[in-house]
Amino acid sequence: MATVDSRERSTAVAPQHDVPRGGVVDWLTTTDHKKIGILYLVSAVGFFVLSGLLSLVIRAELAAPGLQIVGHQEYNELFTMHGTGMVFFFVVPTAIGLGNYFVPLQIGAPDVAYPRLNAFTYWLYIAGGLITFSGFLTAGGAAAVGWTGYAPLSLNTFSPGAGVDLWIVGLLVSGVSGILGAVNFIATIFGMRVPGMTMFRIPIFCWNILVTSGLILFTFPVLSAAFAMLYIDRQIGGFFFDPGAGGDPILWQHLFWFFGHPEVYIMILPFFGVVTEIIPVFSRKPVFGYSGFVFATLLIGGYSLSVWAHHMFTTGAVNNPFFAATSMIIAVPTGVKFFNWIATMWRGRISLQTPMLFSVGFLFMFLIGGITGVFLASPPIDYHVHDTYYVVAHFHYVLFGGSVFAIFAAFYYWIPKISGRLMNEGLGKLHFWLLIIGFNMTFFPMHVLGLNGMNRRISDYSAASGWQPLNILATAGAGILAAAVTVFLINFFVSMKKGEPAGDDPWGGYSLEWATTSPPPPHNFHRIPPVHSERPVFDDRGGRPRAGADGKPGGRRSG
Amino acid sequence: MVEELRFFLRIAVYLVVIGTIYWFVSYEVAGTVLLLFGAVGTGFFVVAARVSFQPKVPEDLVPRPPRTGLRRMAGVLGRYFAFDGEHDMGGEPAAAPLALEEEGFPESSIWPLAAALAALLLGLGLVFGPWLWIPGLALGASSTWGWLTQLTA
Repeated sequence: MATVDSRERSTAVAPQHDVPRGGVVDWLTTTDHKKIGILYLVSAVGFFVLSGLLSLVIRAELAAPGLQIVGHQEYNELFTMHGTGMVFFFVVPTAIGLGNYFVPLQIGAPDVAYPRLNAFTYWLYIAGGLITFSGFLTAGGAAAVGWTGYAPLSLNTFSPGAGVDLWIVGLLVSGVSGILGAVNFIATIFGMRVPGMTMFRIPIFCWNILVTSGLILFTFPVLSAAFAMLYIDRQIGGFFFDPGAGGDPILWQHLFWFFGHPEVYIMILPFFGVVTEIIPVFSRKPVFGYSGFVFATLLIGGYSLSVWAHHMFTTGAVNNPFFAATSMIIAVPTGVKFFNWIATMWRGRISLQTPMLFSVGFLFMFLIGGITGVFLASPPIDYHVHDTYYVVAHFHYVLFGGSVFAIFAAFYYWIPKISGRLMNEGLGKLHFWLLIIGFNMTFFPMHVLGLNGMNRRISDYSAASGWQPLNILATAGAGILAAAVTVFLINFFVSMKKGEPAGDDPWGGYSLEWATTSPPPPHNFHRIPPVHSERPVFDDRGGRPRAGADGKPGGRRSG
Repeated sequence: MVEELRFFLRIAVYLVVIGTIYWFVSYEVAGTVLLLFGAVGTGFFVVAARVSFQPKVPEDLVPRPPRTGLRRMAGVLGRYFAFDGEHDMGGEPAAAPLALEEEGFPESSIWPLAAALAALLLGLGLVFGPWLWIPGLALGASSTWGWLTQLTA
């Protein structure tokens, strides 16, 4: 078995695959992890825009009582597909896309462990998305059962159309994609690290992708089994969940939430990793408490497997104190991460460039979502606000204030590496401020609406309820959010055409992706620096931060 | 035992502990089965991987320093559950193989896309009728054959 004695890799050992040819065929047949990562990211943003447009119709519908822009059935389809699209086809695939592109680069690997399987995983995800959203093309419309698909609502008796079947099959297919992707990430991180890159030297982002992949392996098969059972109930005369035939609808909730709550961490842990990459670089300091971050990530992953039934407090069929306790305990490792992020910034030379701005925004917004989560872990409070807009506000602060802010941070941080061009700072900052204003205008009032009794998933409300002013505020905020995303898209397209060349390492980064060209060559590295710590590129510079004349990250070296 | 196996072992032990507690506080079957089956699956992976263990990643190739003090007192628990961060920081790890460089990169392939298209047809067949399974199975078989042929070429 050959071993690599030298860390120098010349282009002479360049791969057979993906010799640049360009064109559609190249993208359709690629097995290069970087191109597949780009495909994931572009597709995920497409689903983000699609699902976001659905939410704009939802907000328009709720702006005033009596306003019927769409019918009740269509409204149910819109919020179902909005949630499904955002959860299954935007946030998780974005994490997988970032992982695809950057995990091999960060551990010094030339590709993922199973490149063809990686391509198959991507195309399965697209197949799943097409099947799921094709419900809109059927006579009965798309699924209208909420993203949780609770039985018996999702059974034939109440939802007879093909839309629910397409939703089930589409999510089954995309679930298989997730499982295969997780296997690939675990094999890559465990087996393909460059010499010197021990487990406790891999970037925190890779640790978080690893734990996320573990969670996917535990939970996606459960969801797949639940969907198979639901399909059998609907199409083959089964009665797993049909109470009229002796089935148990609570079983669906157990199975769904055994997947569903870890899914929240599947959606947030990769982005914890993203901000843990960004904050040290823009604070000009090493990350504070590397082992603490790893330990906290493992604890969060472990705990997340034992909290599922806090979504079921009001069923009366679960042990509320057990799930209240396990849910509240998760705040401890999450708090460890927060203190580590703050300690990393403490007395650092903080540079509030766009990636850091979004990361700081993430800290504040996710904190609000986390704290309301602790409230909701208390059964007495949960009984009061269950299925109200308070819950909607909570999970949007977690998933938009957390995941989406970190996704944009990742885009501004890593797009220069992917494309070789810097994003425009001015437009980036405009994007940030529009996003944070629009986000808080949209979702903060929902806390109050929920406490005042406004149920989620209603398409209309009484004028006498007093809910209209806050709903108008939320709808106006949604418009600002749309403007913010438009600014991002304009920034992206303009920067890709006319952006300043990024150079290899525009930020003075620490991890191995900054040791290669922007964009990286097909085999990823011409030379890999020796790895003696978790900051190999920093060490390779002689242990000096690299900064521009103004002290900010931004000094560049030519590619 | 390398960190990779500990990663799964910690999860298995956690699931056994929490699954046992959960059973005795709730006597609820579905959740208990999910937790304990998770533990069984993970434990099986750990045992299988331990049996077929081949040193090949950097940590495995470095002589481990003797355990002293608290680590030694912790015995088996310390051995299997402690983080070995300090150990990883010491010494120059030996070279390890990079799998793809041994065998070269896989060439571009149409078969992953074809296989996914087959999955699409098979999935749609579950909703709109088994007639869609005919092209789905044909495409699935041909893409599997093409994929395997490419692997063994």
